Amino acid sequence: MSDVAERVRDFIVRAARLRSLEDNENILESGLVNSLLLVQILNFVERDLEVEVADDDLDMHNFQSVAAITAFVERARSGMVAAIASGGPEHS
Amino acid sequence: MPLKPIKCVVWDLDNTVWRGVLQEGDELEIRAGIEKIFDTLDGWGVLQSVASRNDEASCLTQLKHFGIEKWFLEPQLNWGAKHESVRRIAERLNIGTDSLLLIDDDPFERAEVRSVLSDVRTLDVADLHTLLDRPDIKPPVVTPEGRRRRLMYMENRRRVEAEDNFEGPTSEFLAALDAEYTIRRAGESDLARAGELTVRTNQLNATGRTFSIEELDRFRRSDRHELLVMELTDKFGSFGLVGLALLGREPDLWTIKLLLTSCRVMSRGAGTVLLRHLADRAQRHGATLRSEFIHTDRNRAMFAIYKFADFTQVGGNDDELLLEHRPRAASPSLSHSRILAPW
Repeated sequence: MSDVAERVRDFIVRAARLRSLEDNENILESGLVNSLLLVQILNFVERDLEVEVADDDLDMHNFQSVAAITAFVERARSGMVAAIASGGPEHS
Repeated sequence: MPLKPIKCVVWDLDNTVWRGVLQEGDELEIRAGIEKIFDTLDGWGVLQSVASRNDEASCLTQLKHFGIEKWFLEPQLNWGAKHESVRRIAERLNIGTDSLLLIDDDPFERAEVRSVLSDVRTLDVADLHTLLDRPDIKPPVVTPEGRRRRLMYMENRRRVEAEDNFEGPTSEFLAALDAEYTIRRAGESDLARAGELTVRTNQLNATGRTFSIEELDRFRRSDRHELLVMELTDKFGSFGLVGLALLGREPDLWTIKLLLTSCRVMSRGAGTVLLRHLADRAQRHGATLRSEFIHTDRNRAMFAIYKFADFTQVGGNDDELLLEHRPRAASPSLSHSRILAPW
């Protein structure tokens, strides 16, 4: 189990005052998470997990479960790693 | 620059609210005319509290004896320094010390408070007759929300206590609140509060545009616009008017030019409720729903609410976007709220 998944799950469990949460449980459809909490999750991803969420990434599919958020964060991070490996963002 | 409006008056007790000193066993007499002042301030939406270096239990008994305890929120009755009490009142009411006015007969106490909290305004009770004429205390327009401000504060206090004591998920707590939204066309009596909301709401505001009462009234009367307001009530009481939307209407295309919800109800998902309702209405009329959106340094939360409500950018430029509602399958549940919509 990844560290990111654990942190995301901990955050949502605390913020929504849940006892537990399955990684694939849809937090939007189940009504566990309202729009404020979504915004808090977004802030958590940006501030604590240090991943910038572009406007286009503000999408339900990226935020509907612990697994989805984790996948999004890991994708974004590997994107950054790739950019660094190839000499960083283009300057030309 | 105009003075910041006073949001709370903090009263001293001995020789201020009443004549005489409680701890010295004096025969106390309530100051003539002061109850009229309490009532007037309350009607204007100015909150009131007390800060007195005194014994708490005997003070409370005395306040009840005079029948005036109901006016005061978060009373601070203790032997500590007065500036501590004043600071605590500001914290508990969630306002800055620069919106407080301390009324005290004792020049030492007034100076003590100002020496630590330099932005607190003070008034000698000998000058009490000047209070209601101060330009920083009387609101230009009294709104229904202003008149209910003290009650709303007390209701919210009970709400917060209930949430602290609730065992279980937040979603269940919200469901148990029996939230009821009313979305309707703005009436003339809503305009003062609506204008106030456009000025005071920064975070949950799609365009950040502000409007005067006259401008809002023109939209209200216009055939090509809808000016809608949203109210929220739950089992603890009413929040009053908490949301506002201005819609430009063409037969097949509705465009939101202003959409905001008060930050006081941020945790309730009120923005999503309003947005979804508009989307629903547009769909039933066979109209496309679009929204103008202007990024500010404060309103990213509102942008996220739009995106999560299936709005996507279809035009505009970096400064002013044009978003369009393109509904997809799963959306966050609104199951904890009931919507009454005459519109």
